Order: sequence, then structure tokens, then C-alpha cells
Amino acid sequence: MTQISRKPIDRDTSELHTLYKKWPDVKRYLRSLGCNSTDAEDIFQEALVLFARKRTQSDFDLTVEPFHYVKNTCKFLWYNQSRKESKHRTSEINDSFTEEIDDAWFEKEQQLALIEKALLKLGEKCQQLLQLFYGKGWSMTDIAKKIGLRNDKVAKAQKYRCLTKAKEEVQKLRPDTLFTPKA
Amino acid sequence: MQLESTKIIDRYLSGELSASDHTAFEERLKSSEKLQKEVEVHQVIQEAAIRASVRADVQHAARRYKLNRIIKWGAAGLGIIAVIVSTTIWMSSSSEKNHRQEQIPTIALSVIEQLNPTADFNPLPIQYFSVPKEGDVFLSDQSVLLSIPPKAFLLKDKVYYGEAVVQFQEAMKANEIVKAGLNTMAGDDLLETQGMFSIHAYTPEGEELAINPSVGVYVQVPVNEYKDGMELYDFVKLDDGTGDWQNPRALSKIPLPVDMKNLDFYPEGYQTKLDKLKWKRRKSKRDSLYLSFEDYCAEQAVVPTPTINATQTKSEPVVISPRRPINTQGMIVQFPDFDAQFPGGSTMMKKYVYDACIYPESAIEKGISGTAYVSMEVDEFGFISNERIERSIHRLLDDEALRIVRNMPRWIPAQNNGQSVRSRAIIPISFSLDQPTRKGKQAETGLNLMIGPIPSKLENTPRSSTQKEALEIIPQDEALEQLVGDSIANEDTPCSFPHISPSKVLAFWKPTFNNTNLATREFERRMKAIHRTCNDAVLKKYTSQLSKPISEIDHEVVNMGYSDFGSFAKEQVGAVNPNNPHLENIKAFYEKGIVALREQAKKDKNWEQQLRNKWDKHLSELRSAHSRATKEQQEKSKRDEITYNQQRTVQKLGLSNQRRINPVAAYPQFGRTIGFTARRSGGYNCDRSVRRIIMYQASLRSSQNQAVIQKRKIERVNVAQEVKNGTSKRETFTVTSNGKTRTIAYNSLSFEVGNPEKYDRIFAYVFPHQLESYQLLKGNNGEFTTSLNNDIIYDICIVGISDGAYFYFQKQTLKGGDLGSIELKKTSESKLDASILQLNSKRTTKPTSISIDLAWIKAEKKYFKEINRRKEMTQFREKVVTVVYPCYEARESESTGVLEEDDNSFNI
Repeated sequence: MTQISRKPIDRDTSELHTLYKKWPDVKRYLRSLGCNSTDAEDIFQEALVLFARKRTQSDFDLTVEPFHYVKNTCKFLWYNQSRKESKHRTSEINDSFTEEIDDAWFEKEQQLALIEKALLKLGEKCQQLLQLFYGKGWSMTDIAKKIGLRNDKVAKAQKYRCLTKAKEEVQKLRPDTLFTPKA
Repeated sequence: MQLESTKIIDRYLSGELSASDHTAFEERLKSSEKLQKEVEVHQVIQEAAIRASVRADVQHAARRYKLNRIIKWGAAGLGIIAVIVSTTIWMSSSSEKNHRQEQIPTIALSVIEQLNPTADFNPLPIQYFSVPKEGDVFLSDQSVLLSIPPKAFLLKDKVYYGEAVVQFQEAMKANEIVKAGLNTMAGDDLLETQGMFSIHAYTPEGEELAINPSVGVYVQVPVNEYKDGMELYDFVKLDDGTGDWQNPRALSKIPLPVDMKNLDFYPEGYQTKLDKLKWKRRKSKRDSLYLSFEDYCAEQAVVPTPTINATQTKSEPVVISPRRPINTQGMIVQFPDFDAQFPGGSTMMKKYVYDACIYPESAIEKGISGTAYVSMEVDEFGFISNERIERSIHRLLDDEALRIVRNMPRWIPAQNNGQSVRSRAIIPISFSLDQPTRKGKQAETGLNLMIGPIPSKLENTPRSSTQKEALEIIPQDEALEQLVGDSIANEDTPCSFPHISPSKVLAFWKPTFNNTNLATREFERRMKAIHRTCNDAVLKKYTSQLSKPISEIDHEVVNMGYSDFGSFAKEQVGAVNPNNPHLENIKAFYEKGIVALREQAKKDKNWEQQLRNKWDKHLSELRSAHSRATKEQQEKSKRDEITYNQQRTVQKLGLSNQRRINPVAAYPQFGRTIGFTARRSGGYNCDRSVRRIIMYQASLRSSQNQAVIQKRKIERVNVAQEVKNGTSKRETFTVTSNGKTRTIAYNSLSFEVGNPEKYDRIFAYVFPHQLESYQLLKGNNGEFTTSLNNDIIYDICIVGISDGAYFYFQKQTLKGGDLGSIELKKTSESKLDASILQLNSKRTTKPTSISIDLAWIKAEKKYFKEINRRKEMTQFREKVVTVVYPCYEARESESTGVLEEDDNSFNI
């Protein structure tokens, strides 16, 4: 069991901003693959999330331009989605992605995305609290100030309440969607 | 219970449990699968939370990307930023002083998060904008527009050129102001606020930037209601934690964009003047009227004013010299769309040539006359060059012809495809000696019958006949009086008065210019003042600097010397949308628009002129037809009366001029009563002499059936000739023949029409009962004097035409006398026709040619309408032009409407 480090997470968002400017290109690309624009944006944002997550991994060695990585991820995500919907052909996918997409990791991310969706059912404050605490690594004192709680103790108590609530939400999901570590 | 386990798991996972608790928990974990599962879920949730925060970053990037796009689009489309009333604030460096002490760490986890605590208006939401070094425009959540130009900031007192992060907070609503704990005090005064905002700028590393005073940041704040005296205050934090608003500065008000179609850029008084004159109300009509004044200036400038004495002294005529360095650049166009022409057309040229011509005395002595053909080139600007004689008469006259041509004013150049081009023109100049004075022709006929075309002044000129013929040869006669078009292409047309071309106004008065400085009430007011300056450089200031705040341009205009723009400058009016990237395009559009409008003005004028020419041509055809017809009619009338008089005289004198002697008439001469025939012997020629002897040979037959032949010589007066001569004079005369005397009496008939000035034309007809033909009387200024044959009964009718209305008088069975002053009564056209027909119905013989005259009157009536229309138009334009061009001063009236006056100066 690993512990989640408490050190603040230094994430450079400027790369995301730069990448987001390429959105029209990606959109056009996805549209050319037969994706509608609503889905396209979801896919693009998901790809950016994946990229940002990958970026934080210490062993991640980017061999291509970030944009190409994102674009390929988009393509992969789109095929994945369309395969599920079994509307589109799926033949040439796997060979072109094997290099860049780590299947197990990707699978895990897919699961996490579902949990993430479940978290959306939490209140605004809960979401913010959990994101700031786990995602940004803020201290409880800062979080209390930010969210408007009296002090860090209250914030902490609130965190437990949020987590419990989150668990309940996750339980509501179908059991097979839950991530089960490989034996 | 659930909560408790969560707490423990969380503490376990984050390593917060004490060593003993930790081991205990791990023990429990090993044994309980349920707990294992729960820990797993807990972990997954933690991971998902991390992921969610990443997603939040992505979504933040998305929002920012979209916001920038909206602003870019907004700037382009403008409709989005249509704030109701906005206030513009030019921030100077001192505003919003940095009053934070803490130093921002150079390397932040995220600049934004680091900057958050520094915000002024906690806990209001903070907005961040990332500004590229080229500057950008942003729109805040509450529609505050921030425009940050490049180099707007200073970093440690040096100009900072690079990316910047702008932290922006706004407290526009009362609840926000209260929430932020702000007050609205300036010293002890309570301020009324329409909103507060705070701007800070940082480098991407988090270093604070100051505002560069020489560049500034443009902030546009929407307010619900613009109140005069609203100012920008700086916030100064006081030691007690509250703040004070200090250092008020004037705001510039953003003019409210108004739809172009609701604005009025006409010169002051144009609309009211037209309303007063009850002119058409539609804007398109008024626009085109306004545009029709486009080259009014040129029209005026070109009218030549040669003042040459009719007495033909040797003084050099004063003319505008059309000569200039010969330009051989342009190709001569052989068949242009419109030929070059003399300003004012052939009529003006006739006048010009007549006035300018000095008949060389030596040529008069030698009796040289004839028509010289002079050809010349008219260049794109109407200047004349390369003039030469094509058909010569005599050196003396050739030289004079050349001199006349050389001294001509600038011509209207030929037009081809809408452009002025070089062309050649040939004009015939006639020199004739037959009539020495201008008015020579008028006393020609003694007979007081005036039927036929009323000669215009010009046809009375010495060269009338030849010139008429000559002008028909002129090729440009067709495209007559195509008005001065060249001035349009020529920016620097010399103009006698400063003015602002209508095209320059109409070119921006279009929906395309909506949402620019020009489409505002503020500019509308300025435009009126611009019209008053008559200086299009002032207009250009505004039209060429669409992105400048209006008040800045006001100042520039004040510096040009128009101090009355000072009051405008004080209004502190900003620019509508200085960042509109389309402004440059719009400017080009404006320039193109001017050209297009000028073309339009030219076209309209040509069209109008062509219509007029058609009219004139039609009329001149009609006139010449009528002239022929009336000439015949005149002759006929004369012949008829002579015949009548002759017959009557012969009858009265007991003579016969018939080939076969009337036995009854011959009888007394022979003293017999029956059975004779008389044969005329010898010639009978009325024309050679008045008296001659005519031999009558009569063979008489006696009752005994025996022929007795007698020859008698009868000396008699040639009665016919006597009568003819007498009748032509239309005075009472006596013919004596055969010992008998016959007097043919003429009674004078005179009358005058009351208020003759009321009528454009007065026609007076006498219809003799006994004759087929009728007479049109010649009168002067409403006074008519004529003599009527005592043997004939006349009807008289007088028709006055004025402004298309008809006035009528008739009197039947006249024998002369003084009718005194006659007042014409107004009548309708149909009544007039009926009356004239009725008069004619009483005649013994139906007139055959009256219909021609009636048709002529009708044509005249129509023409009068047309002429009146033109006169009215000229007068109307005279009235309006003073409004259109405030700096225009009416010229001497003689030069206005010359064309019309000359064509129609034929009051009887």
C-alpha cells in the first residue's frame, strides 16, 4: 500500500492552455473521423486529462510532441468509444497505439474517470475540498480559508464527511465498474 | 459508524495513525476482506479526486480559451459588447497603487493561486486574464471591457514587454460592494458609485507590474445610467483598514452607437428647408438630391464670364484661359461614350462664340465671309490644345477662328467608360456679313401678322442661319450639355467656395459604419459643425481616425483653428470601438464609397441631362415643323386676304379679272344686254405694272342672229396688283378703275392684356369669318395693335399661359376698335380647346391648318411645363444650395439659369 504524498503538487497549467489553443485542429480531426462536436470536446478534454496525468508520472518519457500525444490519445479514445457503441470499425487501432498507450494504465484511468463522474454528485464544496486536498496538496488551513470554513479542524471533519458521501456514491455504481487491482 | 471507519482509513492511508494503531489496523485489514475493499475504494476516491483536479485545470484552460475567443469575436462583431451606456476610464499609472506588503514568491505552485490572497476585494471572485505581449482585450463576468495594449506595464520602472497576468476584480453591484467591505467615502463626502474595480498585473512569475503611464490601460465600464460628473477615483487603503477614494479624474463617455439610419448628417437646415419647401420626405430622395450638389461647385466655376462689348471694340476679351502645358500622355479616344463639350453645351458655345468674335475690319472691307472649321484636342481635364484649321476661309478669318477657340474656357472632357479621356472636336465657326446688327431682322416685315416660330434671341444673331447649320455638324451635339463631370475625378477642382462634398458625407452614412464613432449622436452634432467649417480636412480628421477617441480629434480640430470645437472637446467623448479590427477595412470602404458616389452623381446628372436633351431635341423638331407649317399658314392667310380683297374690289368696281369676262360685268361696257362673249387678248400680268391697257374683244350676237364684231380697248388699272400691294400694307387704300373708286378700309384693332407679366406667353388669334385662314397677332408686352379688314368679320381669342395654367378671352364679330384692357380668365385646358373649336365652327369654311396650331399650342404648353419645371428646379437648387454649402455665396444672378432664359426668351 502506498501512501499519497502530502507534498504540494506542482502542476504547470500553461502547457494545458497552449494545448487547448489547438482545439480547433483536434475538433476538425475528430470530426473527420466521424465524431460529433459534443463528443469531440469531451474526448479532447479527457485526452488532456490523461496527458496531464501522464506528465506527473516520474517515469513518463514523452517521445513525441505533446500535441501529437494528445491527438493520438483523442483518436484512441474515439475508437474506444465507438467500439463500445459498436458503430465504427475497429481494425487498425491497436497496432498504432501500442507504443504510446499503456493498456493497463489506460484501463485504470478509464475506471477512475467513472469514479470521477460519481464524485460530481457530491456538493460543490466537497468536490473543491477533495480536489484541493488531494489534487493540489493544499493544507487544511488553506482549504478552510478558501472554502470559508472556520478552521482546519472543521475542514478535516468536513473532508471525512465528503469521503463517506463519496463512498456511498461509488457503491451505487455497478460493482464491475470498480477497479480491482490485478492479482 | 461509516464516518468513523472512513476517518480511520483516511488517517491510516495518510500515515496519521500512531505506530500501535497502525499495526492494529493492518492486523484488522488482513483479516477483513470487507475492510480491504473499503480501503481500496478510499484509495480510488482519492485518486479520482486528483484526477478531478486535473480535469478542473483542463476546464479552466477551456474556459479561458473560449473567453479569449469570445472577446476576439466580440471585438470583430461588436454587437456583443453593446453596452447600454458605458464609461471609459483611462487608467494612469498612479491608479490602484500597490498596497500589499508581502512579496510574492518567485516560483509559485501556480501563479494564480499565489496571487489569490493578494486580491483587494476579498471574498469576491477573482478573474485572471493572461495577456500576451502583443496586448489583448478581455471581457469580465460583468461586461467590463479591458483593453491592454502592448507595453502597458512597467516592471521596476522599466517598460515591460512580455506576457502578463492581469488580476481583475469587480464590485459593480451594491451587494458585492458590501460583501467586499468597501465604502464609498471620499474624505467625508459620500460618493454615489456605479461600480468599483481593481486591476493588478503580474509577470507570469508573479512579479507585480505597474501601469505604464504613457500607454495606459483602457477600461470600459458599463453603467445603468450615465450621470454627468461621474469621475474615476483612486482607492487608498487607510491604516484603520477602511479605504478612501481620492484623486478624482474625469471620465470619457463612450458615445452610444446609434443606427445610421436614425442619424442626420445633412448640413444644418437641409431637412427643415426641404420640409418647408414641401419636398419629398424619403431619405433616398433626399440623399440623391444632396448628392446632386456634388459638383455644383464645378458647374458654377465653369460658367465663362467673357464680357465682350457688342459694339466690337478691339479690347481683348476677358476669358479664363484654358491653356496649360500640353499633355500628350493620354491617347485620343476616337469614339468616346460622351463627346467633349463646351461647358453649358452648344447654346453656351453659340453665345460664347458670338460674344468673343471680333470680325476683322479688313475682312469686312474685303467682304470675306464663310465658315471655318477648327479642330482641337480636348484633354482629360478639358484643356484645349493642338487647335488647327480644318477648312479654311481666309487667313484673316482663320486666325480669328483660332483665337476664339484658344480663348475658350475649359471644356468638359469626353467620357469613356466613366472616365475622362482625351478626344478631338471640330467646331465650325461662321463669319457672315449679311446682317450688320444683332437686331436687324426684326423690322423686316411690315405686315403685322406674326405667325410661326418666335425667333429666339440667338436666332436673331447675325450668324443665325449659318450657325444653326453649323451646330448640327458638331458631333457633340447629341450628348449635349452632359454636365461638368470631370471635377469629380479631380480632387483639386478649383472651386470658388470651400465646401464639403456630399459624397464624402453620404459615403459613411451607411449601415457599414454602424458601431463606429461616426454612428453616434455625438458625431451627428459634430457633423453639423463640420458642415459649417466647409473644410473637408476637418471631416477627414474624423473619418480617417475611427479608432481615436472623438475628443482627441476635437482637440486636433481646435488646433486647426476651429475654436468652436473646443466645447466638443470638453465633452470628453471616447471612441466607440477602438479595437475593432475592421476599422481599416471600413476606411478603405469609405474611400471606395466616395468614388462610387461620385460616379453615381455623374450618372444621375448625365441621365437628367439626356432627358433634357431629348426634350429639347423633340421640341426643336416640333418647332421647325411648326415653323414650316406656320410659314405656309402665314402665306396662305396673306393670299387669302388678297384674293378676297381682289374679288371684292373687282366686284365693286364692276370689273372682272377672270379669264372669261363675266357677261354681266361686261355688259355695261358694250351697251348691250345679251348674247356676247368676251375674250381677252394680250397679256395679263399682274406683276409688272400697275396700269396697263387690256384689250377686250367681244363678239356680240344680235337678236337677228347676226354677228357683230366689236373691238374695244379698255384701259384699266391692274386692280389685282393694286389690291395686293394695298393689302400687304394693311392700311385703308383706294383703287380707282374704270372711273370708279373702291376703298378697302382697314380698322385698327388694339387692346392690351392686363398684367401681361403674369403670363409666360400670350397668344392672340383673329379668326376672319370670310377667310379660311386665321391670323396670329404680334404683340409686345401684352399690347396688341393690328388692323382688320372692314369687309371681314372677325372673332378674336386671346390665350395666356402661365405656370401650366391657361387664361382665356374671346370676343366674336369684331370689326376693330380699341378693346381697351382685357383681363384673361382662368380656364382649364379642355375648356380652352372647346372654346377655340367652337370659334372655328362658326367660320364659313372649316379651317384646315388650325389643328397644327392647336397642336403647337399644346406642345408649347407642355414645353412650358417643362421649362417651368427646370426654372423651378434651378430656383429650388438656388434655395437649397445655400443650405447644402453654407460657405456658398450666390453669384450674380445673371449667370444663373442662363440656359433656360436664353432658350425661351420669346415673350410676344
